[in-house]
Amino acid sequence: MIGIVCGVVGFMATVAIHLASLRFGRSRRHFRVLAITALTCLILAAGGASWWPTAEPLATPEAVAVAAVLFIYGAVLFAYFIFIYIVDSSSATRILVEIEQSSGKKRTYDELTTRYRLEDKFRDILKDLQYLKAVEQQGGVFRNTAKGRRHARLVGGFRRYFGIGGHL
Amino acid sequence: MRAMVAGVLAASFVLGLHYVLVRFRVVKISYTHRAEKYAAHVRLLGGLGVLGLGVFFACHWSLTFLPAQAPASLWAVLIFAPLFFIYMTFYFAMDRSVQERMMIELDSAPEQELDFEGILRVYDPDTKFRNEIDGMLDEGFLRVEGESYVMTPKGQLYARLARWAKRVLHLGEGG
Repeated sequence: MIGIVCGVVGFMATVAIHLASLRFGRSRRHFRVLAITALTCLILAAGGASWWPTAEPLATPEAVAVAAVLFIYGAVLFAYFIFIYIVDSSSATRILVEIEQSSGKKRTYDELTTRYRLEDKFRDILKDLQYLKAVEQQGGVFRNTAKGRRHARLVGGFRRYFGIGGHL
Repeated sequence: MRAMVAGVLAASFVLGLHYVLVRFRVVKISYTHRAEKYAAHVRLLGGLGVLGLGVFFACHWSLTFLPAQAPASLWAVLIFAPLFFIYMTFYFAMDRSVQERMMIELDSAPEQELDFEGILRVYDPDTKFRNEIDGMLDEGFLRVEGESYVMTPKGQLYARLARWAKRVLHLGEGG
């Protein structure tokens, strides 16, 4: 049981430190900060769990173990789907694959933009947003639906508060 | 320990079955645009996930020879990792998602509407492309050689994995 508690506390510490670094920190390397924070908290959580003096009396009850593993099971399926999504939709991945597929394993900027047009991606995304009923189109003009507007304001507010986004 | 092993077996079963069904086109995922493709994968994985629950409980009840308790530090790692992954996904969606950016740009436009040319004016594809490349240079996936971009070993490893996944899961060119 103490292992699960340490894992949750370690995670909460990671989120708190990361959000504080976004809000008050000066580093522009957000991912590096997140990775270092997570690794440190993970080591502390695992170390704390194994060194906890009352670990034995706090043995994990069977029902809690099953619930925790079912949560991890769901997360693994989610992670697998996210992997598919990133491999398929990420622009950075597509650029790397374009270079990897070239005969000399190198491409110039013009070659890349000829083979991979972001305008086409933008058109596809607008179609996705219409399919998801977040955006509607009338006479060649796009506007958010109520759902899209709520979403835009929520994410926009989060981005402004933490000073992230807008660069990609 | 018993629950963990049962979980590993159930997850392997689902991921393996998804791979086989998609790779050999036992289940053909047809779509007219990307959101439909992802919705189809979610439906398929959801169905297999329910099937996997049966595998989980069957394994859990039959693996009685395994000790019930697992080391506390292992629990800490296994609980931390998925929570962190979910948080990271949420954070990256907030930070980098093109969909979110488009909705924000539409919301910020004077009349809260834009035609496609207007979207390209406020969300310049060329700037985005350069920022993507700068990000990969910065993170050590690419390096510059003369006028060309070349992959580092790290970039090459990721590109090969991505190309393999795109091929076996019939994802198309993507991007």
